[in-house]
Amino acid sequence: MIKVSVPNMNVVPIVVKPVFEELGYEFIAPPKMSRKTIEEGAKYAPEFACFPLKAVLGDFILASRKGAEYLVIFGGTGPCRFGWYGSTLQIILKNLGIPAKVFVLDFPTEKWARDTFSILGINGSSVKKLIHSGLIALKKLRLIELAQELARKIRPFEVKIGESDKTLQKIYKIVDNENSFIRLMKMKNEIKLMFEGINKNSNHELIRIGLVGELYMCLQEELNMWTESKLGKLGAFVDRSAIGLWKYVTGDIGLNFAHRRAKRIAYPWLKWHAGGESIYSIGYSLIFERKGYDGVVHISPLGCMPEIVAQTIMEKCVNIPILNLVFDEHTGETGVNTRLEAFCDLLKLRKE
Amino acid sequence: MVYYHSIMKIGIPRAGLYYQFFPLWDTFFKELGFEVVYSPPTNASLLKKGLEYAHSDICFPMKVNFGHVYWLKDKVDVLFVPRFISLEEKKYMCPKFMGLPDMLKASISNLPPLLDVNFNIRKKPFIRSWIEVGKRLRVSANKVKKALVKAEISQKSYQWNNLNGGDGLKIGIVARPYIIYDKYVSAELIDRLKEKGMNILTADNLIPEIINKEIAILKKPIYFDFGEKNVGTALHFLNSGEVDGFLYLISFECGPDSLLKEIIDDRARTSDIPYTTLVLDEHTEIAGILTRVEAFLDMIEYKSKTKFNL
Repeated sequence: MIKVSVPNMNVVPIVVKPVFEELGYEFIAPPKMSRKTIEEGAKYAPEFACFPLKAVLGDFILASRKGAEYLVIFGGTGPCRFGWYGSTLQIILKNLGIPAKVFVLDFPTEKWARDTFSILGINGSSVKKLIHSGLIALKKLRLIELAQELARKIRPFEVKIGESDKTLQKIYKIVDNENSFIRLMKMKNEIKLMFEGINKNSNHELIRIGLVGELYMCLQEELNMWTESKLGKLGAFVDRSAIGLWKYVTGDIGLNFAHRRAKRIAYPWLKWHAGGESIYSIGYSLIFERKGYDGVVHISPLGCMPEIVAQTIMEKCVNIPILNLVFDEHTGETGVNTRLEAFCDLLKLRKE
Repeated sequence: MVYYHSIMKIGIPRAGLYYQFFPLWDTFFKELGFEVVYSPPTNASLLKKGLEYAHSDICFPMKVNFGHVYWLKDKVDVLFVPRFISLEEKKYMCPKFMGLPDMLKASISNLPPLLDVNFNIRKKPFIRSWIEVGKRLRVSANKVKKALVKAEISQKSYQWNNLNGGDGLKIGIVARPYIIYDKYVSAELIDRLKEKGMNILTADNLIPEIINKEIAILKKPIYFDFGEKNVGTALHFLNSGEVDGFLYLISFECGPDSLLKEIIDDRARTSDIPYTTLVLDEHTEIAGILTRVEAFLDMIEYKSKTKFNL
């Protein structure tokens, strides 16, 4: 069986696993992202490449050491650099002497699309089964996003700090091991019950923070130093409605109405979507301001082209405090902690 | 809204894509009867203003651009800072160019009205963008079309005269137009090399067919404007041996170039044409750049004398 791997991106390995297994591949989950992944990637990646490329390269190197032959990544032809990742990674891996092939899910030309489908379908799995596994994948994604949403709501109130994070990890494991569609359908209540079981103390004042920024950096907790859960533990409700995998999938094809609204609100400030999440960063920050949130945390990797545009404009148009967190391979966790604590203190003081 | 009193002054910052399209822009606006005001060539004081107003993480040429706009803002009635989205079919400009007018509006206060017309060949041909420019300046579409014909002739007939008939070394330079032709940014590299009697070849001296032929080997087409041109030129230099060596100038934090450089590096590993990359930013010392260029040239000369190969 051909071994396939994907880069870490929050729960993506869990979600895409059933699809690849249905297609007849052996799925190899990349090792959990750690310092080693980042170091490995930063060593071989181009110097000024954006941080996600380095992290993905690290993932690919480690996954190929585990035996992966195909490394799958999305592509694109947008203005952001992400669409060119596949080609760059292939060149780097080739020069490192790693035989693994980078497989870009992307259709820039007709020939490319035909090749993609012919490689994907080598094992002749039926369309019906494929759709079934696709539905399982979507269901898993929805369940995990629900769990994350619940965790965000409970985190500021938990008595024993860190309990919701533990529950979340437990849920990841359960969802990962469950492959029956019917049982997945019933899991929603189970997840809700698990979070209801956490002890809460509800008598402290809540600050509300909106999270915006680049998709990959916001989702990959190891890269953004667990910003989201740290803010929660500092007593802030974090609204991550701006970013999410499901949102990304639906927003890209124009089905997400919240995204459309954000685009409309940001239009006076940025008249053209400059790739990535630039226009959503601005739009959702303005929405958070209108909703009366206390602050916005903006996360971006170093050298991200669209987010620099967004940052420049947000400084002018958003009238609530913004914390810009720019991450790269040299970012230390203590520095981030200090800034998050200071930001939360500032917001609490402003409220009084 | 823009009204014109006597002769309207149109400000064009001498930065960004000015260096690619100045024959066209200059002829176009002068043909329509406007006064065109250019900012002076980049200098240290302009750059200082740019650093003050631009975001600190943005690329060097953009900081320069901010400085030029700041210089122009009180001296003109309207600023020509279009939004370049796509210059060629199936290509995109870098996101910073897409957001440039908005970033300027957000960062610099008291700006005159901007002519932030979209130039997006994916959606509409450039002539319609120019008509929109004319519309905002209260000029009829017919006049715009007539002026544009003349402007395009002057753009096409402009000689990118870099070749210097001497018998020195032939050096290729690969870079984006706003780096290579901006004398301050590129440390007057072209002039300095010419003084030494060298022939210089840039992407603008090559015919597009050569570049397209080199690009055809890539599996996925490059979707960055200037990216294909630069990579094609570099690959042509490496494959054909038309030059004795070439320099690749990139600005710090240039997004597309940072990844496209890998293609050139990959090909250069198996080629015996010398090639070096110079990364430029606001902290670059001219002496440091010149030392590296001199060492590079010495190496080429040594190589041609001794037939030394690695």
